[in-house]
Amino acid sequence: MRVSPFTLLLIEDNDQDAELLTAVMQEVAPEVQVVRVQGATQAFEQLDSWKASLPPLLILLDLHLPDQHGHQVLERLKTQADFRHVPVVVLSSSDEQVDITRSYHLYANAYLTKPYDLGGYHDMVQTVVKYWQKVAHLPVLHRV
Amino acid sequence: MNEEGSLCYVIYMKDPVFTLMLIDDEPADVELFRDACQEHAPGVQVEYAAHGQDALDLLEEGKRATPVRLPALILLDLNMPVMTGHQFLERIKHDPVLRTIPVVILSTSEAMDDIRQAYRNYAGGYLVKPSTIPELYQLVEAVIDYWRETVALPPLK
Repeated sequence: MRVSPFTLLLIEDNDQDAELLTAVMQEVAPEVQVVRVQGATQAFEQLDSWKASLPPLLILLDLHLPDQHGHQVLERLKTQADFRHVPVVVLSSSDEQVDITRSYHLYANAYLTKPYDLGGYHDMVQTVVKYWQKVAHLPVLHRV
Repeated sequence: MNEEGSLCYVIYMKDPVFTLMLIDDEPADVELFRDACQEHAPGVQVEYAAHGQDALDLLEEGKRATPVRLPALILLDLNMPVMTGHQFLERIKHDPVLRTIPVVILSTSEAMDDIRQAYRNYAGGYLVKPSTIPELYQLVEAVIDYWRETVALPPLK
């Protein structure tokens, strides 16, 4: 059931946040391969290049992207037959209720607010990896 | 100013309950799950529904209540009488109010068709019912760690 490598697409324009998450992921779960893109255009290019082979098992999506709002990216992902089944977890610095509710309304799998410090990132990554990699079954068998 | 501050504090402290709705027609599974929650998820209140239609009735009632009474998370079995889990998931994810509630599948089925269909209909995860009690405890812990302790859930209103 578990497929290696576990590929995660990180859509994040902030270098510091992306590097922090990637470093913590490397430490907590080195088997998870983080592919990072900086915005919507790059994300869909990357997803299109994967379509035929290995789509990511999980997408982490920032909301404030330079080329498109994260909610537009979410809406596109959740209405495309090729990617609709891939869980999208929003990871944003916003804790505004309107952002949270809108994300779930557009079928975000879950909403995470960016932690303030390294310890917070560590705890968050550990919980997320445990849930998605060790507990939940993902729709991956077709590509084994 | 001080009074308002303490009022907010009281309201926050009065509602630390996390309500989870378990939709499952198998009494033995429900009982195991209830025990697991009692031991490993204190403060989690579990509400039950026997099948999809039963759950929809409860949710409609909760939607109309003042204040609104909806679960923070739904755990959903697939094979049930009257309305299957897949039918329930499709219904709830098209409801303008209820669609924001995360619905996690908890089923004995490991069929890839079930897994794919669940995620295509925006399941919040697909969990296979564990065959041993320690595994069930681990699953409950991981679910609560993720959905209660880590994720920001939509306000229920």
